[in-house]
Amino acid sequence: MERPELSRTRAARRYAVLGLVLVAFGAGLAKVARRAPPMPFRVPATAVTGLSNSGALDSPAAIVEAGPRGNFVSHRKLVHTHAASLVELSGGMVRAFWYAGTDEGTQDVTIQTAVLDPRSGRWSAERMVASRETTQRDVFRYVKKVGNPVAARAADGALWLYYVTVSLGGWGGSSITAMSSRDDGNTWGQARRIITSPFLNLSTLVKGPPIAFADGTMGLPVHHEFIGKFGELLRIDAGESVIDKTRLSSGRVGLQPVVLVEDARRALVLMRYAGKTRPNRVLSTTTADGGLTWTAPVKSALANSNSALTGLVLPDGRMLVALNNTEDKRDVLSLVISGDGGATWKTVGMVEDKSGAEWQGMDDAHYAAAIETLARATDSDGAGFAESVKRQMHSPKGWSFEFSYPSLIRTSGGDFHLVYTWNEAFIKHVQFSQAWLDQRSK
Amino acid sequence: MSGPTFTDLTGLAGVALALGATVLALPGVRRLTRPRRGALLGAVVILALIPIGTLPVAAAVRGVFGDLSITTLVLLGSAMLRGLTGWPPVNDRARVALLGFVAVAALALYPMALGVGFFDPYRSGYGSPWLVGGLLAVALAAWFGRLELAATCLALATLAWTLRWYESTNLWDYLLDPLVAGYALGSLAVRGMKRALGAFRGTAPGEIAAPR
Repeated sequence: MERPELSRTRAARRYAVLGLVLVAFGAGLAKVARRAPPMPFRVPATAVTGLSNSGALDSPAAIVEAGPRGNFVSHRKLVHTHAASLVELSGGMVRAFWYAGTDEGTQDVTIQTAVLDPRSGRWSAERMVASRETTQRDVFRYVKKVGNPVAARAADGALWLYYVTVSLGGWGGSSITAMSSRDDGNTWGQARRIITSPFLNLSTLVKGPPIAFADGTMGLPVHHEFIGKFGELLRIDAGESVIDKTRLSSGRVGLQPVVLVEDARRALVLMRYAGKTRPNRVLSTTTADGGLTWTAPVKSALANSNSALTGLVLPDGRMLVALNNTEDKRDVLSLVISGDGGATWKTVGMVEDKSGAEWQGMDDAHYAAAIETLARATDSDGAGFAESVKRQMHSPKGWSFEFSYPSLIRTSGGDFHLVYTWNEAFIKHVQFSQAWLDQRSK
Repeated sequence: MSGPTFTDLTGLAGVALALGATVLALPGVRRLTRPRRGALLGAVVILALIPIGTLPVAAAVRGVFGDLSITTLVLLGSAMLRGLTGWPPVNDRARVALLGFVAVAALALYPMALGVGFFDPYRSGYGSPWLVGGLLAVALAAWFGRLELAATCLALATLAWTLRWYESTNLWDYLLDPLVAGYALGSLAVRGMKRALGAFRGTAPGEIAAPR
């Protein structure tokens, strides 16, 4: 028979556990009661339209080539350069971020940045803002490589940079790291890891630009590509605390969502199509309740070559999207516009088009000459550009062109800025005005 | 370079503790005296936190496995404590109940959270009253059923989530991780196989050595 004092000790321990349960869950339920309620979207400002005074290019020809204004954003030669993202700074300046390194996924890949002065049309010299080494020192974890950056302006004015980091495996093993700046990107705070997945925090990547909710929290579109390939919308408080998430698609077909907010409740999401079933079309899903629920994704009218796209909603409600509007290649980059919520689209400009027969099947010498000519239009070192591009773009099928991963913003002055990967070797910038767009979309 | 934040320290400490527990579980180490095992544990934990090159070993492991769930730490901690002090005693029924809870939760959570279907149970971890209320009910049921280990784990995990002990804001990350999920599933599978083997031979596990 158990001694009485032993029995009393066991009973005391048992009631201590009950006390712990009541205290812990009391605190937990109090936290639940304080959690942020669902919020409608914050609709982007509906201000300024018309020609800007910043020397925007407003002729149709200007969009085909950026003109003699040195509109290559990056200038490092002989590196793989990819996945640019734009954000407006104070004073009408524009900052771009992208990643570059020996090759995609190598350990020397770094996140780079440069600033555009729209009045001169010149980009500053690029500099590094994050590497795998700086990131792993900040987050106190091993980091194998870094990838896609996405910039965002928070409601409190802070500039946030979200970028992909991988500790385990390939891009399927990605997670998101965030860091913020209070001085428009000149200096940065400590990078922090964002936890978004229960299985080793595997497989969350960013590409599309964030949106805002009415209470100042941020909506960050992300995608998974570990087992499933599907989109999600994270709701983030204070830049780095995930407070909710909703699934935008399921299965293995949807990547890199872009959220186009129509009003406080309604939004259209467009996603890169990664499925195997033709026709290859941009996937779309909609919400009518501020993002709490989303319709089952369907194929839209837009062709897609399993490539990233971007877009924004104009002050008058029309949607402007930049994408590779083809089913198989990335040698065409188009601007398309929709006035009916994404049901139908009209092409308003071809930013790049190398789909013609004259650009196909080139031999080594002709390809190098073509790249040199194209680059020389905006940069004096055409030969250096050609050498860099040749390093990236040769495949067993021969030489090809790639204009991909666009990022598009409309500044408070009403100008549009588009950057994109130019043949996997450089980031290129194109600027156009509302007037040009209005003229082209008639 | 910035210094570690609170959540870096808690995450690294958890990983270092787990590394210490792993070393203590090695066959040769189990034969050491308790003081020597205690000294070895302290040495492993300290070594795991000392930077080698740019990162401590704990940070390298954390890069792959992330922050360990409270359930993992409670199981490892109680095993370590038992090895060093003889307390707490093994309560097989409570341990199996906890592993059963972890296994069921893992099977319900991981496939859907990784993209099977449109429903994402991981979302409930961001403060759903249904999840927290449901866990309270489970914890109370465990307590009334004298399964204090499970009740303690659920309470400590919820408390840690409330206090944001780790970087994660999701309660599921405090309840389980793939390591404890794998251990629970493996352990229950082995237990089930032994039971089946025992039934096949006409005896149940534990009965073989029992006096008749």
